Amino acid sequence: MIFNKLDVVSTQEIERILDTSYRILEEVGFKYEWDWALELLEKRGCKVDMAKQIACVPRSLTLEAVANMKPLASPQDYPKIFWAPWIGMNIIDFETKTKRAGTLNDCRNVINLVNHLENISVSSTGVVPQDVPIEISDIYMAELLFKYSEKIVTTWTYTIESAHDLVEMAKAVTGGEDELRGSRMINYLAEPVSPLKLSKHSLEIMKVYGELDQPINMGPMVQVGTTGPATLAGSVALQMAENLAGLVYLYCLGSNSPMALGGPMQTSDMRTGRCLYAAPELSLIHLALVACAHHLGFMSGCTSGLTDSNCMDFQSGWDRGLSMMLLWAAGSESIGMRGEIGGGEGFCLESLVVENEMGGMLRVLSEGILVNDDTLALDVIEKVGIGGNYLMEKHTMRHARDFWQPGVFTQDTFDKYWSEPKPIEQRARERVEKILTENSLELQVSEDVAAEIDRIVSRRVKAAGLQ
Amino acid sequence: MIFRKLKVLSDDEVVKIVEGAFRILRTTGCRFEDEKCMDELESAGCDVDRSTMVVKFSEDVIFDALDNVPSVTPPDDLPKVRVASANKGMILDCKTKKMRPGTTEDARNVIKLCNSLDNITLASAGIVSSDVPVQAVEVFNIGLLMKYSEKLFNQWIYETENVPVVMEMAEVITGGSEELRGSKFLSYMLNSVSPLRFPPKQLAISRMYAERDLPIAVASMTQAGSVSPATPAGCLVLCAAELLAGLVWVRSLRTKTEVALGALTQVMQMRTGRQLYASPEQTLMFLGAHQIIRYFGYCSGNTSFETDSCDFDMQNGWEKALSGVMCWAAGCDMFGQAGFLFDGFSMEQLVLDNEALGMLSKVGEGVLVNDDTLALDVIKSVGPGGNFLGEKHTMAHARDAWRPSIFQRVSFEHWAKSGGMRIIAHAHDKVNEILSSKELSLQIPEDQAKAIDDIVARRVAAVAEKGAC
Amino acid sequence: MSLLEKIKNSIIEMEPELTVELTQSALAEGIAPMEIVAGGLISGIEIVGVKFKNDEVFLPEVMMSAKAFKDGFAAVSPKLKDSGYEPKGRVLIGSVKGDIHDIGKNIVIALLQGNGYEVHDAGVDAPPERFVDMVREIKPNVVGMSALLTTTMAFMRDTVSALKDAGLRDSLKIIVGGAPVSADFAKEIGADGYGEDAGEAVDLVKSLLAS
Repeated sequence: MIFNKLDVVSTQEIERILDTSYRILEEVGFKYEWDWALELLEKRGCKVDMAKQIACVPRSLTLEAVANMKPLASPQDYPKIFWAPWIGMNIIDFETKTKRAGTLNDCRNVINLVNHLENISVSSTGVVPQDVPIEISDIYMAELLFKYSEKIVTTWTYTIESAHDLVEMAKAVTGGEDELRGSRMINYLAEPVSPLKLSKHSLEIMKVYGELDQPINMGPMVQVGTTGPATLAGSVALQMAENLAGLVYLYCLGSNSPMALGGPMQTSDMRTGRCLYAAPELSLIHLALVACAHHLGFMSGCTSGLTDSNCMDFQSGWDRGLSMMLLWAAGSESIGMRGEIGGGEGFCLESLVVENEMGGMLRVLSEGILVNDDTLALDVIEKVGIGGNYLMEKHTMRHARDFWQPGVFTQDTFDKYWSEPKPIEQRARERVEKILTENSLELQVSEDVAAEIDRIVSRRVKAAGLQ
Repeated sequence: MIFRKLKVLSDDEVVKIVEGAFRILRTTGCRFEDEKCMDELESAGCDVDRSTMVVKFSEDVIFDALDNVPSVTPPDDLPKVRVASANKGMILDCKTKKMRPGTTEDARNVIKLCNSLDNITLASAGIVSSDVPVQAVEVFNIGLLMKYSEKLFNQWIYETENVPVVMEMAEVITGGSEELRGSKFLSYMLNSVSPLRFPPKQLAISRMYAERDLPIAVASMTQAGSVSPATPAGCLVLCAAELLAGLVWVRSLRTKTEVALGALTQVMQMRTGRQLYASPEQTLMFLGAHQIIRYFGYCSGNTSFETDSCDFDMQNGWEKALSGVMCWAAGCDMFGQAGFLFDGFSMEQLVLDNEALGMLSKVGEGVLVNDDTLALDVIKSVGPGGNFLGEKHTMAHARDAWRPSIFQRVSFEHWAKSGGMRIIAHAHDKVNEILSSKELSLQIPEDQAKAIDDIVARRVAAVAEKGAC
Repeated sequence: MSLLEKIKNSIIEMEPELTVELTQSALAEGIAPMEIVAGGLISGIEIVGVKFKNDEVFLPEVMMSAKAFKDGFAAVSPKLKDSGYEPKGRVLIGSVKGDIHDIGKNIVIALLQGNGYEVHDAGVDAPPERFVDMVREIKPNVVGMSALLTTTMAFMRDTVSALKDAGLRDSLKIIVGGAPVSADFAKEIGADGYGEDAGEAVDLVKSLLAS
């Protein structure tokens, strides 16, 4: 049995951080940039300054919201720990050491790949397609995911128009509004702008999805030292305050959306200002966030598995490993298999394949050590006795295939490996090509539903006056 | 505050495994391949068969050992992440990607690196110098480490004849046999050969250390599927049995020796029979063994932080994290070998490992929670929509963060334009930088150094003479 | 299915008891011992060998098939003496001086036996003199040495020299293996070959004896 009990803060410290978050909402307030939302909050007892668009949320309301909102549990039919690929702007090509803008074809490839990577449970398009008008690229991403993904999906919604279109597509897939309600079709990542602000369009989109009880992950992005204090505890308190601001808003809306708290916090290189994707402090704040989310009874949705390295070297393995292992050890429900490379520079299919393999190893860890009469093997140990070996035992034969087997990782000897060295990028490339050539994307919805989705897309293209 | 309490077994499961080990020690026993052990273990109350050298253990005898053999307390001034530099035969030539035999020059260079790398806790000479007679190489390396290492060190000893020589050298440094007694300056690892055997030479060497109250690590090297059951739980039963048997023997010596327990657990590649250095099952067993060792009440170590990759690639970094970070999260006291690369030593790997461990050490500092770090006043003064860059509080903490020494944080374009190098290139540069800019300097007075040199020379000459006959 | 076919399958199916039983039935039915070995036992183990190379079967499974072969062969071998059967080759194998690890050596022994070689075990911590004495007595075609530790590896060189000094080197092939050993090292100490795992060791013996 696994007990994930790595903690970087004590219960008292968690309570102190959360107390600070409550005080921030009550004493500093939060900027909701939509008068409709401010009026709603005022009715529920917030002190609102309409001119500044700031609402001060009383602690009692925050606590009431926490007590009443539903946590997003992990889908039962998916392994608990493996989350979605990241969505970047560019595709990285290792052979040429170049990056280029993502296309619809890249999106299709990523969906196809994720369909066949057994340790990644949530799908995305990996990149924003830029061979379509960028302002409605979210519609194209949703179209492809709804049509072709065999897994739960996560995607972006840029505008309220897109939110309505996505809802319509999701209704087509599920069969109607009643079926859509409470399903996990649209997993929206609500992104407050740190510090302490939610834009009008975010609030509008949250309202649309919230009223349909779609899962909402709060994803504020406090950056230590720039959009948050330079100390970790303060930034975590701010991040939690922003999480709670979204939660309170949804509660006041009467939404039954299941929620995950957390979000991708960031640190930066204080010398250059460059935003970091891997750093020990980043792991620490995410661990503290997981602890805070769990303390409030919510699932945590933090980022991990990212790197600042631009290639598939030691640093990239360690960066990802450090953050993923720590979150796993702390019992985080979502651990990233991100496909990201170079501090958010781009998406990389090869990396995703390797990360899938890493996920397989983590899955073995999650299964733990089975302890029963057969696995304790006392009779076998007595039979083999002193100085013998277990190779010829039936018990060994029976369990010989229990062990994890590598796919792109190597277990070759040093001489063999270096006699014909094939770097991990190349092995991963071959696996990507094999999956993409052997499998074509297949519609996961009926022809009629696909046609309806297409109709919604072309209607939007026309409405936007784009082609 | 950090709580490293990752567990993979419930308390009941730990008890089940330990009860299994007790049963094995009662029914099957363990072979101590050394005559003297028979007397020692018999006097401790074990059931001894002198013809087969098989010893069986009652519960009382085991509990007596658990109650009376003290655990090593790691020196408090060592950082929380404790890692030893590896001890290997060959060394990697980074340019040609060939392993070559080590030389005395390499040994000096590895010590120099260990001195300069903050996160390597225990130094080593890295390699077995091929230009020193093999039976004397351990003495030679220890001589170098005593003279030049700024840190405690780790050097395996395989030759019984070398032990008195090493003791003599240690006495030179500590000031005499009484000063050496009970110190942590030297320690030895008693390693079982699974299943359930302790070989004669190791027992004889351990006895010499114990007689001087020097610490001993009792370690079990099980390998799932070959010398141990193919199921992790069964492997742990065997591991626990071997550790307890070793502990009872140490108890039977009636010395003040302190003990740490270790799991050098391995997994066999089931396809070919090859030994693996990293696998998820191995990590699970490290974690399980750690819990069992803690249940016994001892300091625990293992061979985590290793990789099956032959390259400095993503697999290498990931596998190091898989076992290293998990064992850290479980509160292990001592990790495996830094600088280890496919059963050889690599100076570049040592530098990479040092960098990686720097990050882990920083995580170990945890999140400081107080009025200053919670920064409520600063958050108030910045308010919604502002930024923190101009705040005094930010300035005051701008240098808190961990800074890499070789890990890269540059844009993709910059990286590609400057040659698209993998991290190994930077590690190699760092090795060269340290080796060319630093000098080895004596860490002990000259007269002691002279005495050490004389002892080493005497041993080397004795071995050479014996070889000549 | 013919009895020989059944023997072959019992080896592929990793059932040593069944192999022995079937071999005895075959002998009782008067099938020639040579035919039992060639048509049953060897054809079975050869198929397992191919599957092993293709990663279809794992080592513990090969070991069990090898045991089936060995046990079946033991059942038939008293009758073979008269028929002029010669083993494929004679191999002496041991862990060199200072090394008390024997698992690698034992795997190689089992696989060689399972492939029809006559194998003699020099044990662990075997000094050069023991190798020399045993070579004189057994007259093997191949001597194999194993080492797990980098410090004991050096004794492989001493053993090669001892065999040279005793004038025995030219009558046999020397192979080495073990975690720290490499092909370069093998060449350097004057061995004839290096196997990186047990499967390769068997191939190596096969090819050295063929040449």
